[in-house]
Amino acid sequence: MSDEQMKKLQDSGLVDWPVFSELVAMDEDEEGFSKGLFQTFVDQFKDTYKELDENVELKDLDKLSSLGHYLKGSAAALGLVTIAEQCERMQNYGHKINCDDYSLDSDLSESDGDAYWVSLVEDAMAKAKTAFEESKEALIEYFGDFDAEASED
Amino acid sequence: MAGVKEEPMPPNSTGHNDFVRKLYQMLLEEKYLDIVRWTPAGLSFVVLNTNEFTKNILPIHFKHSNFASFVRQLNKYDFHKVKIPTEEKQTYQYGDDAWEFQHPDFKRDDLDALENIRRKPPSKKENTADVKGQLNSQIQALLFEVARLQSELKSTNDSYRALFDNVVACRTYNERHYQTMGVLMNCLTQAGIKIPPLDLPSPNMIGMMTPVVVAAPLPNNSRAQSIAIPGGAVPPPVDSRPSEQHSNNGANIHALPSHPVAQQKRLSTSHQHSVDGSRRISSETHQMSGPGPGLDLMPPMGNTGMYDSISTTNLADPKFHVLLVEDDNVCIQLCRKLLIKYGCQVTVVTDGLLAIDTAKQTKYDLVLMDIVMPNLDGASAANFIRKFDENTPIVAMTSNYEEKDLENYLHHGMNDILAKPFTKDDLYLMLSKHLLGAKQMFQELPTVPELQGILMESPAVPLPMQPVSSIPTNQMMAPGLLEPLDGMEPQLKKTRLS
Repeated sequence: MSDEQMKKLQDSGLVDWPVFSELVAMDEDEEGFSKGLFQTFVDQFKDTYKELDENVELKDLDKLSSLGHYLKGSAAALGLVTIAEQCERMQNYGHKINCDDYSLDSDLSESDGDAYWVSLVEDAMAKAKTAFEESKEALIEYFGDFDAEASED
Repeated sequence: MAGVKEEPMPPNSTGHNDFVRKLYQMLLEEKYLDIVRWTPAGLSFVVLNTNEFTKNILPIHFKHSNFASFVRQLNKYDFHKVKIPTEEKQTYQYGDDAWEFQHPDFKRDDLDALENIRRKPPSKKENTADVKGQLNSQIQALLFEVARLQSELKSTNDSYRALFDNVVACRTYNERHYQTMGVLMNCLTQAGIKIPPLDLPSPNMIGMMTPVVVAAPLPNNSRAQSIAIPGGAVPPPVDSRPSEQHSNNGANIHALPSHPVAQQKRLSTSHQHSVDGSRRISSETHQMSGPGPGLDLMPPMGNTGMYDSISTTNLADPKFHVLLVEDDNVCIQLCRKLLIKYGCQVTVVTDGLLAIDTAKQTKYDLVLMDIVMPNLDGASAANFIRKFDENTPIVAMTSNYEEKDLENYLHHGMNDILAKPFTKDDLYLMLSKHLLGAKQMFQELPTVPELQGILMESPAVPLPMQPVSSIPTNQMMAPGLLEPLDGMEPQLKKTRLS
């Protein structure tokens, strides 16, 4: 990795640098270890996102919350802070906690019950997706393309 | 009362609001001004002197002298006493004793509106009482229902606990049977007795994987092979002669009985067990010794995206044996890597139920336990493990920082809490804290004590036949193999251990 690439990723603010450099350091005794981790995460994000979509349809807030929690764990472990943040919002909204006093653009309010919370989750999901795409792009620039990407696109 | 209209009341055609008309009539009387009169705006009237009013006016206009009943009458027509806020009472022009009443349609200058004043349906008041009564009884019913549900929940919880204990006991029981069967089968095959195809699903597969039907008749009576079959899930085509037989049957043998040796033992102690009997003995060559996994660090699996329910990573000389209970692949990979670097042998299970089973069979130096997991959460699993193991340190890994929850975890038998996400240093600090004290003792003990457990692995998918050397290591540990060490001749033991 060139220093320049490193700096670029670091400056993006998408990854928590101490966590990330610790991961990369583990490549020393196992080549490609860190990339493998991110590859796993990329796949996991896609799978979990599908599940999130399904549960938005079902309006299953508990499930949405637990999926948010699940994804948050992986994202945080890899230092993917922007994604983890949105996942935490999903987790909270699923439990009907407006952790960041977020107000929706729509007319929905707390009195609309589940529909309101589902829309909040959807908001967090959309932002998580954006954060994911950004992070993935930055990581691809750093690591090279991920396998799944190559086969899908 | 300057503005009072002097026109007579219209003839009382309807009679349904006589009271209102009488009231209006009364207020037209100028001689009462000091006792009862319109307020200046003409939107309400005020009784200034209730004594005089009751004594002198009520009898004339309403044929009674009961102020309370007059008020009641007003209420029936939906008049309301005008409430004067306390702070305004001081300045209230009519004094403390005055009673002011108003009704939206009772106005000095709007005679027609009087028609709109109706007696409230008599049932209405009773209704309120009724509704109140109904609500009260509903509340009572609900309270009762809540109490009932609570006690029901409690008893359900109790029976769940009891049932859960029983299920775990049953599993253990089942596993022992399974092992015994394995031992018996091995004896039989060693004695040269043909065993018909048996359908023996591994008890470990219940709920985790599809049972694999064992349908392998013994290829022949050669002792070497007869051992090989029940033992090796993946009998390798090591030499050409028996390989066809093996490839037909061997791949289906995953579920064959396994010996009561904890899987970790097999894995940790140089793989002679997992690779064991089957390959070495059947071939009686050194096929395995070359490419065999031996004592090297075992990469757990080629496939990073998928884990078996249980997988163990081996180290040549592990300092500690750690059970990692975690359902998230990313965390598993990362945590396992860090643990291996620390010098730990790592066994990974992906839910609380498996954690209990695994902890029951093998003594670990440390259990790292995620909290939110499928099947059974980490806190409950820790709680259960404490019933049979009071000493092994259990560390909760959680991103939940609520004090109440943390206390709860510690209460459930967790020794410590490792906050997620954690760094290498966080983890190593925790490891030092809970492992180093035990190190001395550890070195005097075998890596993993032999327990009456059985193997928990066994990939459900029949493995394709491959040259031995290319079989991924983790699949080798899968097949349930009898552990015929005791029944085997000494030189065979030596072979296996060499």
